[in-house]
Amino acid sequence: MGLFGENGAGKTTLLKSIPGFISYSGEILLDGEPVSRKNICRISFASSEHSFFPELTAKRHEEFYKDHFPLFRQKRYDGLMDFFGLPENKKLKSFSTGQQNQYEMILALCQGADVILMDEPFAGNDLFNREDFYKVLLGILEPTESVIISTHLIEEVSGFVSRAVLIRKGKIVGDKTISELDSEGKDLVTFVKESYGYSEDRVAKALENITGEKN
Amino acid sequence: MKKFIDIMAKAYEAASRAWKKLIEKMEKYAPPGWDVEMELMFSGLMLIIFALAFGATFWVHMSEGVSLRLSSGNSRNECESMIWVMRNTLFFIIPALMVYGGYIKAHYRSFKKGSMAVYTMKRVPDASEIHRRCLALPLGFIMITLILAVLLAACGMHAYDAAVPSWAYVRESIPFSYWRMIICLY
Repeated sequence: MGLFGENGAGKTTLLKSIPGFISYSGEILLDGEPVSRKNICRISFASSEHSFFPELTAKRHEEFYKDHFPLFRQKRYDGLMDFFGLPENKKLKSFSTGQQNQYEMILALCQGADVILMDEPFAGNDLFNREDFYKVLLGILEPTESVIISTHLIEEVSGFVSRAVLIRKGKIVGDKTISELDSEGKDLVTFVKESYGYSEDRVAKALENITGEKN
Repeated sequence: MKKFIDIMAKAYEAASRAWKKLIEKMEKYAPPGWDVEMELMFSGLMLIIFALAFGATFWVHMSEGVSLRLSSGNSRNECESMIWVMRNTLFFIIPALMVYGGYIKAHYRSFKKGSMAVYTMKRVPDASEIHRRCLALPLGFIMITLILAVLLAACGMHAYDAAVPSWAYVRESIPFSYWRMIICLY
């Protein structure tokens, strides 16, 4: 599921509320149960802020996750580490930003959670990194796993999200599945623009006001 | 001589292994990636310095008291010395406790330094994990410091009692006991 919206719309706030990282009013249920310590390990979280321990090596992280998350996916972890070619015995603070993002996503995908939250996971990654990640993600996810991804890269993720939710000022202003959009003959970008009331001549008007010339 | 060197080398190796094992065990009681070895060494060194400083200042205090008594034949107010011992013990405990308070703060802050690792700790099934990792070592140090302080104060009291003859006490009627500390404080 893709979570879209302008800066400050409330995407990160929503994602952080789901596992209870920030306080909120209302109720968030996971299969009918409130999120608590009992079921919180069913949720994983990858953030552009990163949630790993920067002073630990990847190897020590793997041990930490194995100790604390009983459903840790070892085979997937080994496969992803191999695919991205990340070093095992180097402290994470020494990784490049791209490598840190990759590792953050590896941890989220291997924790053994069935709800995987990703908040701007590609910030700082180049296009090749992102494309690699999309391909891998599509290939490894199991039917029991759901990914909720918040990103500004709408066009890039349009190929692999099955549902798009739009947020504006903390409220949902659009919620459609990709098959609904297909039947309406719309693509994701058009849907987002329409839901946000995006005016196509906005740029032309601004230029006219600034330069005084008609475009 | 060679045999002695071999024994020493083996002892050193065994000590190194034991130290490494201790560090590995302690790492489970500290934030992941925290320099436990540094914290243990710093705290140990601090306690040794405090104990030595306490001993040295106590020695000076005792010497001054005894020479004063011998030269003038005056009696000595025992409460004054007991309060001195307790005040000096506190003088060393308070900075130590402040350092341990600093450790607690630094441990909690480490989960938000360089990344938001606190999000991982909040997803760990055991809710007490983060507190265990932040509080265990400082609380351990606090206990060791308090035990050391009690031992130092007790040693000081007994040394004072052994060194100063009973006739020199102003309050001869009260026998030496830890209760005297409380009486003196009043």
